[in-house]
Amino acid sequence: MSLVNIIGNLFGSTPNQPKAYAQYGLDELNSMTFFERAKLQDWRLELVTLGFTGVFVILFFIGDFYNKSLVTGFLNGINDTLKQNFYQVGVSKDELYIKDSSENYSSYATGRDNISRVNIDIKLRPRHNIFVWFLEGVISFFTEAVKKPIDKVDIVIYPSFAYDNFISAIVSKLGMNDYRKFNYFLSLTKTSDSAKIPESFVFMSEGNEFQEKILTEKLLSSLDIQAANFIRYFAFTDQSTERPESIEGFAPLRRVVVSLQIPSSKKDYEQVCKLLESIFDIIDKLASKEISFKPESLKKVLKTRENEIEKVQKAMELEKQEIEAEEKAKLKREERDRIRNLSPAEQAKLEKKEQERKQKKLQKKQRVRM
Amino acid sequence: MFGVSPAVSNIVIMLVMMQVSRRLDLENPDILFYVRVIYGSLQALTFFVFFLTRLKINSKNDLTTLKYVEPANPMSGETAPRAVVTTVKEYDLKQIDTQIRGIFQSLAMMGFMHLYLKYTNPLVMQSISGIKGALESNIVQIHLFGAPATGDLKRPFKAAPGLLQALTGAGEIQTDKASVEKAEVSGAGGIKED
Repeated sequence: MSLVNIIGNLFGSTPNQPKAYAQYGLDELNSMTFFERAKLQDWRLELVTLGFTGVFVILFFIGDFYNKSLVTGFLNGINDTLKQNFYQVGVSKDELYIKDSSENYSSYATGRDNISRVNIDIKLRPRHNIFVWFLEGVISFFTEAVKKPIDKVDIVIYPSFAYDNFISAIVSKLGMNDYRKFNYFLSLTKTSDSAKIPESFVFMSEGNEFQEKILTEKLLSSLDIQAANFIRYFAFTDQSTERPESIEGFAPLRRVVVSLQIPSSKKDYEQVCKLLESIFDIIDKLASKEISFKPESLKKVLKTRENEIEKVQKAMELEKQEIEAEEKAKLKREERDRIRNLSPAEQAKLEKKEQERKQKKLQKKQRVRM
Repeated sequence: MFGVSPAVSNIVIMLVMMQVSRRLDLENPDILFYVRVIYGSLQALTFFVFFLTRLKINSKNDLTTLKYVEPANPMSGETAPRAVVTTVKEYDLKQIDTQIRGIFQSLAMMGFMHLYLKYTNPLVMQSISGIKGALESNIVQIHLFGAPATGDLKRPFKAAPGLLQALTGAGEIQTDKASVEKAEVSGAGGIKED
């Protein structure tokens, strides 16, 4: 049964072809109009294909539009706070955001005391491609290699002044192991519960002093138990997100990373705005030295960095040794191949030489023994 | 179950089911149909048990922090043990998901054996072990039967030492404070996303 027939049967009609195109004579075909000739062909397969394509295209535009509305919704939600703080909000004067693809958007803000810039990266579910979305959702259940698609926003704030290196974060308990897994700086910290913050959050920091001084009244008022549903984590850090593989990778890049899920209600947006404002405040306090840390705490931080650099150095040395050993082995192999390619007479000569050398060595040994 | 260790009762059940399957006329389409129905419904029941447990876990919403150290997995190229910082809820949900994946795995195996290789005996023998394993699993014991999470049921659960573990040389899960604190700040994170 051909594919056309199968599809035809699906639609409840049996193929109704009294005479195929090839069975008509030339005269008969010539006497028909173009439209009549076209009608002789069974077009159902083409229609089904076109139909599927059409549905896919429509779904693409619906998903794309929905993602875009999520982005504009989010950016509008925090717009007032950003406008109050920054001279420029958006990537240029009349562009609020840039669409990198249907699932990746980015925005920007700049022009404020103590802050050089704010990068906003929005990564959404692949709603425009319904097959990928569905497959990723299903496969993520069976393997850890594929991650469940979610809507997330990463806001990275870069202060414009230098201050002491430290890592301190408040992290939602929902999914905290993953955050530690995918953020190098979080895996350098100690996780501790605290009665001072809502029980759905934990501190992850390099020392008690950091977490206590960062936790201002205003910051605390932006958190409650429910907030863990849309605040993934926010962290003051100087270390990178990916684990560095070279020593240059440890150079401090001081910033505040705020990772969110797209909030759903107006109250959630209010909390997010409050959180951002309190972080701006903390940055101001760091700049004015109102928040500063004891030398003991900072020494510990330095020690952690040094240990990590040592680890990488060791790994690099090991790699170097391996490469050297490999090269040696390669040279030996080449030498052997060269000898093998020589003429038999030359090979014999070489062998003789080798033997002489061995004998000399032996003699030397014996002489020493005597 | 009945105070007998699961390993012993598994063997007993297997022997009994072997006798049963020998006495059943599996060529008879009626009997075959019933065997299939029983197998299918027991698998569905297993799934339902896990689903109920999942609901229970979500409604309990136990956010107590749970820390332990997972041994390095040489198969996936890990060299150092990795600290896991999670909550009781998340740990339990992960356990349940593993169990549910197990159902799908055994369904796929059985689909291959029964539908492709046309064996019916395993269908009879496997029908009970799935639901038995589910009811005996730590996570169901804790949440559906209200067993206290202490002793053998203390999280993180100890895996029964298996052959694979001996082959790969993987160690055991550690929960003592010193090793947790050491592994926690060792900078093992930062895997590239995507």
